[in-house]
Amino acid sequence: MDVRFLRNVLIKAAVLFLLLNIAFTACYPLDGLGRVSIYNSLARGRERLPFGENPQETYTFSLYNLEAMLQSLALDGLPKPANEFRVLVLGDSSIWGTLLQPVETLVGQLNAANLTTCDGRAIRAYNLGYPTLSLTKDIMILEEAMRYQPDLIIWSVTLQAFPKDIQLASPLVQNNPHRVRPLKEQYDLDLPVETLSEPNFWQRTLIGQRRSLADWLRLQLYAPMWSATGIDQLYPADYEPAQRDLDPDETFNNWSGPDLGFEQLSFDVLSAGFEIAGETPVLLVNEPILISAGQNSDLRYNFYYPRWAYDSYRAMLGETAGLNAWSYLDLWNLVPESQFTNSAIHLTPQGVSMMAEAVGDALNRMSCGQSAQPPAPTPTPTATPLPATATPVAVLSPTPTPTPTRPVYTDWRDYPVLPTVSDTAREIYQRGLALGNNPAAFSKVGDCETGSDWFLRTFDVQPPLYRLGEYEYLQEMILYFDGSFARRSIVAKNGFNAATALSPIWADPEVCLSGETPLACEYRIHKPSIALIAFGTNDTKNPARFEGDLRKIIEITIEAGIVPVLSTKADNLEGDNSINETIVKLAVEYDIPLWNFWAAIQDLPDAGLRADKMHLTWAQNYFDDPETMEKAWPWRNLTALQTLDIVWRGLQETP
Amino acid sequence: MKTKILYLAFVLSLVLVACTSNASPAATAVEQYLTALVGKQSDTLSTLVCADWESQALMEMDSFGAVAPELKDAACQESGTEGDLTLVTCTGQIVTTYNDEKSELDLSDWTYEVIQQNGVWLVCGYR
Repeated sequence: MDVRFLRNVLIKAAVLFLLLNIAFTACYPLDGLGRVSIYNSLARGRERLPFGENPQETYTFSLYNLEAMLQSLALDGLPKPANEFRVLVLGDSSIWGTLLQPVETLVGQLNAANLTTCDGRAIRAYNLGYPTLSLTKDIMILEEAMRYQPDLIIWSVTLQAFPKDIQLASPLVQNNPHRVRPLKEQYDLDLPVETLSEPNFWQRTLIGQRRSLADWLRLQLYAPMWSATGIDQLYPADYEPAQRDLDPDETFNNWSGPDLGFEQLSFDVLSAGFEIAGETPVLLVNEPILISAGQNSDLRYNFYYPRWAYDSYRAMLGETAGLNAWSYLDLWNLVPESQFTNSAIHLTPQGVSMMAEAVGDALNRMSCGQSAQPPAPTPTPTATPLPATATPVAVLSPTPTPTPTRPVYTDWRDYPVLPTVSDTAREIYQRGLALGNNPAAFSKVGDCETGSDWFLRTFDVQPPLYRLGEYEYLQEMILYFDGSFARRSIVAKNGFNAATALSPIWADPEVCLSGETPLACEYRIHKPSIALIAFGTNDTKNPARFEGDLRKIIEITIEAGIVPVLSTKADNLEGDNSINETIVKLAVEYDIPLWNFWAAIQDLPDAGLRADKMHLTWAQNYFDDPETMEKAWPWRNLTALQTLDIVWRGLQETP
Repeated sequence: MKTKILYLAFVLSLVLVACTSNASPAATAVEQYLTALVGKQSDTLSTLVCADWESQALMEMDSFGAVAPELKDAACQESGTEGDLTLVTCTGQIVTTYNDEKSELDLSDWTYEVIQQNGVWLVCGYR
C-alpha cells in the first residue's frame, strides 16, 4: 500500500475526529441524544425509572441522563387519552419499589384498583419514584415530567429527604448541575450549587463523555431483554431485615435535640415543587415509617429517626402544609412494623396495599374536586378528653360565662384555666384607650412557645385552616382581632426569657428606637390593648431573677395602658413549680387576668409534653376532633382564644 | 550575622508589641465587658460596669440565659467623647445558638458609653 495514501487517511481521520469532538463539545447533545430511544417503539416502555447495579441480571442500571431515563418509561410513549386522569407519583425507593414487582408498588396497586373520577375518567398512575432521598432530586424530575400533562401529582416524602446538607448528595443531582442551577435561581433555593462541578472543555468532548454515551447505548441494548422478561430488579428470597434493635444514639444527621428548626430542612425546595406543579393539584404524603418496638425504641423510631427529630419534623410538615393549604396525608404510623422489608421505609406488598388504600381514598376525593382529608368527624363531646382543671365543665363551656369575681385558692394549681376580668383590668384598659391603644389589637409577649407560628397564627390565615367545632362562638372575637394572630411580635421569639424582653440589645434595630427594649418597641409599634404574657420556660436557669423581671414587665405593660394577661407554663423544668407559683402570685397581686394553661393540659398523655419535658405535643387546630385534642398545641390555641374572648368581652363592661 | 538577626528580631518584636497595645483603655473595657457578658461571668461583669448600670448589665447577661452566646470577630475602638463619657463603637457580632438555631446580634448597632472612675474604665450603658 502507498505509504503516502495511508498517511493522508490517518491525517484526515484525525482531523475529522478532532472536528467531531469540537462539534460535540459545542453542541453537547446528550439531552438530545437521550430523546433518541427504542423504548415504546421497538421495545415496550419501562414501568419505573432505570436504577440498579446489576445490569446483567436485571437489565437495568443507574445512569444520569434524565432525558434518556424518562424516554425509557412507558409514560413517554403514551399520548394522553381524553378519558385518562393522569397521576404522576414522585418519591424515593419506597415509591420506586425496592424488592417489589411493578404491580406491587403503590402505582401498581393504585392502577389495579381501577379508580375513576366523578366525571368518569380512568385514574392512571405513573411511577416517577427514584431511589435516593432528596427533595431536590424530586423537583428535578418533576420539572421535566410536567410535560406529560399530569392532572394530579402525588409526592411521597420522609424526613431523610429534607436536611439541607444532603440535598445535592443524590448522584442523579450531582450529575445534573445544569438542571439544578436554574432551579436554584428560579425558586431562590438555599442550595450550595457552587459545590457541583460543571464539566470542563475536555470533559465535554466525545472522549470525556464516553461513559454517558455508553450508558445511553446500554440502556437501548437492555430494552429488548426488559421487554421480553419484565425484569428490572432482583427479588432475593432472603434479605437483611430492617434494624429493629437500635443504637442508643439520639442524634439525627449529627444534630441533637430537642427540636429541629425550619432552617435545617429544605422547606424551600418543598415549596418549589408546588410552584413547579402550578395549577396541577399536589397530594403531599408523609410516607409510612417503621416504628420499632425493639431495644432503645424509646429513643428512636427506627434506624433513620430519633423520636425527637421525627416528631419535630412531623409537626413542622403538618403546620407548613396547613399554612399553605396544601393537600396533605400524614401516613407515618399507618403500617405495622411487620410490614417493612429491608429498610425503615420499604414496605411489603401488604404494607403498600394499606398505603394504597389511604392514598386511593384521597385521590378519589381530590379527583372529584374535594379535600384530600376525609370529612371532619362528627363532634362527640363525651369522647373528647377534657383537660383537668379545677372547674373543667365551666372552663370548656361553649358559652362564654366569665365569672365576675376571682375566687382565691390556696394552691396555684387550683386556679381555673380561664381568667376573670377585674375592675382593675377594666381601668387599665380604659386608660389605654385614652392613650391611643388599639382596642382591636393584642400582642404576644414570651418565648418560643409564644413566638412560634403554631401559636395563634392559623387564625389569621385564609382560607381558614382550623375547625372551631362547638367553640364557634369564638369566631366573632377572631374576626375582631384580625391581624394580631399572625403578627410576628418583636418581643416573642426563640430563646427569649423575661430578661430578654427588658434588654435593648435584643430589640430589632430595623424598627426599634435607640435604647428601646423589645417590650417597649412592640407596644409602641402595635399599640395593643391586651398583652398575652407567657414567660418562664427559658427562665428556669435563674428562677431567682424571674419574679423581679416579670414584675417589671407587668408594670411597664400597665403603665402603657395595656391589660397584661399572665400565662402559666406547661413544664416544670425548675423542678419545684416555683415559676408557675410566681406567675399566679403576681396575677393575684396585680389583680390582672390569669390564663392557667398548665391546668388545661394535665390530663393529656404525658401532660401534653414531648420527650424533652419542655415542648408541647402538636396537632392541627381541629377542636372537633377527639384524636387531635389528645395533643397540647390545639389546647394551647383553644384556651388562648377562650382567654382572649373572655378578657375582650369582660373589658367592655363598665368598671 | 547571628547578632544582626537577633537584633532584627528584637526590633520586630518591639514593633509588634507597639502595634498591639495601642487599643484605648475605654475600648478594652468594652471588649472585656462583652467577654464577661457572653461568658455569663456575673462577678467579673460587676467590676466592669458603673454602679448605676450594674442591675441593667446583670439583666442583660441574664437575657442570654436560654441561649449559648459567643463573640465573633469583636473589636472595639473609641469613636469620640461627650462630656465625661468616652464613646466606643465595636465591630463583630454576638452569635447566639438556641436549639441549633443561630442568630446574630450586630455589635455595630450600638455605641457604648464608658467613663473613668478612680482610674478604672467602666461601661455605663449603650445607645
